[in-house]
Amino acid sequence: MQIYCTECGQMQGFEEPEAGDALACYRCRHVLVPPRYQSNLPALVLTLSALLLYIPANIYPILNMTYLGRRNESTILDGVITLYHDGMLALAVLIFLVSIAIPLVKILVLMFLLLVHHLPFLGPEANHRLLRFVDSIGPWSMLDVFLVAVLVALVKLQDLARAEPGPGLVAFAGVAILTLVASHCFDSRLLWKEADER
Amino acid sequence: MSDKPEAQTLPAHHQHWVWLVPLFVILLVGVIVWRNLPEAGSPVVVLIEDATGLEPDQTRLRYRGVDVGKVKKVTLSDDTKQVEVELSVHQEVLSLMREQTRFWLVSPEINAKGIKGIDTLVSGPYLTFKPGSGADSREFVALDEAPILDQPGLKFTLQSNLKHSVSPGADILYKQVAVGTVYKYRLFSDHVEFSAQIHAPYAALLRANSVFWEESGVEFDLSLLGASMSTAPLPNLLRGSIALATPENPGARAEEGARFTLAEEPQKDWLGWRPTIEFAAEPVKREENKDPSPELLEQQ
Repeated sequence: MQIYCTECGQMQGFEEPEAGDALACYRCRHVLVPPRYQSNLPALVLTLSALLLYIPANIYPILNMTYLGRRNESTILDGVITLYHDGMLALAVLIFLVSIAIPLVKILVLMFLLLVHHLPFLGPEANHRLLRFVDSIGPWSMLDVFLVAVLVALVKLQDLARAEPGPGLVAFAGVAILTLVASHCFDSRLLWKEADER
Repeated sequence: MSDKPEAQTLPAHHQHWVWLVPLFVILLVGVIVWRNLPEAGSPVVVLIEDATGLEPDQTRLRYRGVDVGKVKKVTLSDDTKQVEVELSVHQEVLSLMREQTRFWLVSPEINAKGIKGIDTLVSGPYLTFKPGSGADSREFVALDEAPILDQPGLKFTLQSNLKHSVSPGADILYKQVAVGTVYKYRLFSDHVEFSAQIHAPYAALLRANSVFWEESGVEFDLSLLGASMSTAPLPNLLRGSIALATPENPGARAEEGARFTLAEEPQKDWLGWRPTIEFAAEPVKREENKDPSPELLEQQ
C-alpha cells in the first residue's frame, strides 16, 4: 500500500503500525500516522484537570485594580456584570462567551465524548463534528488572559492606578491550555472504532 | 522507482507524562486556595455616629499605621440612631481589644492644629484605635474624633468665670512653651470648669501655689510713648490658650485632681517669676507612651 507524505510529497509504501507505534515519512520524518492507543485516557485526565481548575478560575479574582487607593478585586463574572451595567452589552456578551461559556462547553463536550460517546445519543459523524468544533473554539478562551495582560501593561504606565493579575487568572490560563491540549490529544479514530464495533 | 521506500515505524512511547498534569493542577489549586484563605479575623463591633465613607471590605482598621483588620459590614443599629460597624480584627491585635480601648475614624481634617489624615483624601477614611486596659471586650462605641490626649500627665481642674476663647485642645503654656492641654470643659450655672493635664515630664512645674490666666490672643498696648501690639501664635489664637506660672518659692507639688482658678489677667509680678524647679526637660515622645493609663482615655 502506498502513502503520500503531506509535508514533503514523497510516495512511500507502508504497513499498518502496531498499536502505540507511529508511522513517519522516511524522508522528512513527518508523522504520517500518529500512535494509536487503546483509550483516550490522556485526554480524559487533561479534561478532568481542566474541570478542577475551572472552579478557582471563576471563584477567585482575575484582576486586582487599585485606583486612588481603593482596591477592587473582580472575578470574571463581576467583570461581565459591570460591563453590562455600564451599557457595554456587546462586550459583556463577548467576555461571557469567551471566558465562562466556551471553557465550560469545551470541558463538557470533551467529557461527553470521552465518557458517554458509546451511548447511542449521536452518531460517530456528529461526535466527530463536535470534536472538530471544540478544537476550533479552543484558542478563543485565551482572549481573556490576553485582555488582562494588556490591561495590566497599560495601567502600569499610569501613576494613580495599579492593576495586578489575580490568582484566578493563573487557573483560567490553565483551563484554556489544558482544554486545548486535551482536544488535541483526543484520538478521534477511537470514536469511529467503537462505532464500528457496536 | 521500482524499489519504493518504506515509511518508518516509530517505536511506541507511553504517555505517562499526562499523569503529572493532574498532580500539578491539584498542587496549583491548593496553592491558590491556601494563599487566598480569608484573613483570619475575629469580629468586633464598633458603634459610630456617622459612617460616611465606610465601605465593607474596603475600609481598613489600622494600628500605628499597620493594617490589622477591615470593615466587614456596616448596618444601622436596631434603633436607627447609630451605625454598627462590624470589623474583622486580626488575631495579633485581639489582645488590645479591651474595655478602655477607644476607636475613632480618621478622615481628612483641617483645623487650627494643622492638616491631618491627608492620606485619607484619596484612600478613603480608615478606623484606628488606642489600646486601653480592662477586661476583654468586643463591642465599642467610637469617639467622635481622635482623642486629644496622647500622653500621660497630671490631671487637674481649672475654675473660671467665663469660658473665654479656650476650647478643648488648647495649650497650657509655661513661658510660652506648651506643657499641657485642656481636654474638656463643663458649664455650671455660676462658673465654667476646664479639665486639663500637665504632661508628665513637666508635672513638677505645677505647684499648690501656681497661678493660671487666660492668655488672650492679641495684646494691644496704647501709651504715651506709642502703641504696641503683640499676638500669640496662630494656633493659640484660634483655640485659645492658658498660661501657667509658679512663684519663686514654689509650694508643694500639686496632686492629681487639684483645683485652680483661672484669672482673666496676669498680675504684673507673675510674669517675672523665675522659680528653680527640676524636671525632665525632654519632651515626651508619643512612642514612649506604650501602655496608656486608663484615665488617659476617660476624657470622652
